[in-house]
Amino acid sequence: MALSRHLQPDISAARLARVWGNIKGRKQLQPPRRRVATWVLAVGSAAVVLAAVVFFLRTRGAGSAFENAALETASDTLAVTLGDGSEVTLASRTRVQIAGGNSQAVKLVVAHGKLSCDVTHHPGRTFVVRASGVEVRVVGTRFSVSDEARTDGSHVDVSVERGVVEVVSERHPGVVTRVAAGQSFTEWVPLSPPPASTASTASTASTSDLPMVPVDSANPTALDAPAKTAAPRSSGDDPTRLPRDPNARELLDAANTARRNGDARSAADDYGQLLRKFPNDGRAGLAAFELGRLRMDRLGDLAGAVQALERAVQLAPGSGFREDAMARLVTAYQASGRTADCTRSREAYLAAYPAGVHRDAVSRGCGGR
Amino acid sequence: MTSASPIETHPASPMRLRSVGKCVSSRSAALSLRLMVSSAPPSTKSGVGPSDAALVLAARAGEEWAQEALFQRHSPLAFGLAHRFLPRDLDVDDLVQDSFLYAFEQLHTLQNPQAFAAWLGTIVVRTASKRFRRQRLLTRLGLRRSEPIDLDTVISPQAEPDAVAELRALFAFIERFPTDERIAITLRRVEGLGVTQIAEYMDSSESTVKRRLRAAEERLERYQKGTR
Repeated sequence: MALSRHLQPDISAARLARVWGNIKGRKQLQPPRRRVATWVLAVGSAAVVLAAVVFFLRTRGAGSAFENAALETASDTLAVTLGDGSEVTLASRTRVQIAGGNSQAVKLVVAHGKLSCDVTHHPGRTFVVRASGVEVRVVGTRFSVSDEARTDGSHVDVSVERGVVEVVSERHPGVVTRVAAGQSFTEWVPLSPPPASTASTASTASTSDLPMVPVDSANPTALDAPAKTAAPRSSGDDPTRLPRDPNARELLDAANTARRNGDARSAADDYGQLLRKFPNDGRAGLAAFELGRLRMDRLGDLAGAVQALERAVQLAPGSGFREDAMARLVTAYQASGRTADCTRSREAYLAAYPAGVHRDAVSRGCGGR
Repeated sequence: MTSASPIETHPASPMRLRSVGKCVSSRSAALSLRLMVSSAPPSTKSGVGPSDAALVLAARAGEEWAQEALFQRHSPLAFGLAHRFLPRDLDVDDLVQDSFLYAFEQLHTLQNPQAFAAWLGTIVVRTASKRFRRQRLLTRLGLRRSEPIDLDTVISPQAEPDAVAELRALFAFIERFPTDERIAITLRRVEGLGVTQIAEYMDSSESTVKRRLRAAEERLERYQKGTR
């Protein structure tokens, strides 16, 4: 129990009135400010929320007059509670198109940015979120979809916190991937236009009739997919990017720069090169960790991610990122279907970090509760 | 703050706006919001009054009633935090005033209007940090005398003996702590916050907070051993 309950201030009405009076007095001494941009933002945010709420309240069971209306955020975030109790939250710089919506089917399209959803279960109602040709079908769960534009394509990421979603990509027709709590689905969509597909205009009303195809944990198709669709290396072929015989620091700098620029392949190559050439360097642990993250999140190489993360844990036992590496190992083992390794790494994490920041997520891993 | 979490979460609070009537208007955001909150059912988590988001938008538009409503709603949080950092009445009032003034000045920078309370908490912590730094400097320069905190006047008479002992042990030395360690250990030991929340309040990474907490605990142990 927190000690704060024994240190409670006396907040009498008189004290509050005195302090508020002082605040008011000091405010009046300050020159007024005109904030046109803030005013516009406030009007815009309010209008967007109102439009969304009106849309969901007024269009139940009928064709939507607000079809193709959009929710958009600038530097702020926007959280909206829908008529059915579901909650959607737009991160900053996010645009979401309302592609369809009534009491039986809700369809949202993430044009860019990140949308988090906490969807209330309603029998017979479908809830679909699309991003760059990836369609997420929801039953009742909490998840987020992000579509991040990079120089050479889009990076679509689906993370599930609770429940299960089905993910379908128009680049892998017929493949339905179930993503469960604690798992994530990632697809790298190159800039070149995808093959023509009717999926973008497909009705959302029949999602509950779709076959549920369990992920083959030993060979999860969707998690292999990013490797097949990965964008070609862009800046990695630039001969001037690195000196002829780079040292460990130069390799790490180049890798970090490539990673920040969205060039996952070049970054992975450089981290790998650092690990091969300088396995005993102090930067090797960090390189292994970053390589593991890239392989896991961006390159769809789970086996490679596991290898790199294991090495990160081994190389940097006292590092600040060891906890994250161990937590990721649990996720990677689980997604790879390596149940025994998953359980072992989960127990290792919980023993090492009983109050760790990933404790809840890790505890739920490998089928744990 | 690390971005390496295997599961990325987005914990922004939901904004509940259940009924809007016919208040969509381009005339004035504040007017629209007033209409909305006056004609709508209760829309906060507690079910009373307009949401923080609505108040923040109106306050940004210069509505004083909204600023006062935010003050009335969130002053217990600000007073509570301030009281734990500076258990002297006058200091607490000053800290609360400074924090709210800064918050109202900077309201346009608040990205998620519904998160006003958490944001205000960070402002109180930051304002307290500045105050501690100034106090330490003045004390070192001999311009300020460090006065012991009279805990008898601030600890609840109903507090259990072990809680009183722990608070006494902490406040006996805490003025000698570096500012960041002082803030971190107060939030941890007194407020009972977790590392993640402390990191948010202090605008630091979790690993930095862990390091500060470790250092503060070691320092406290050293000071306590020194007095035995």
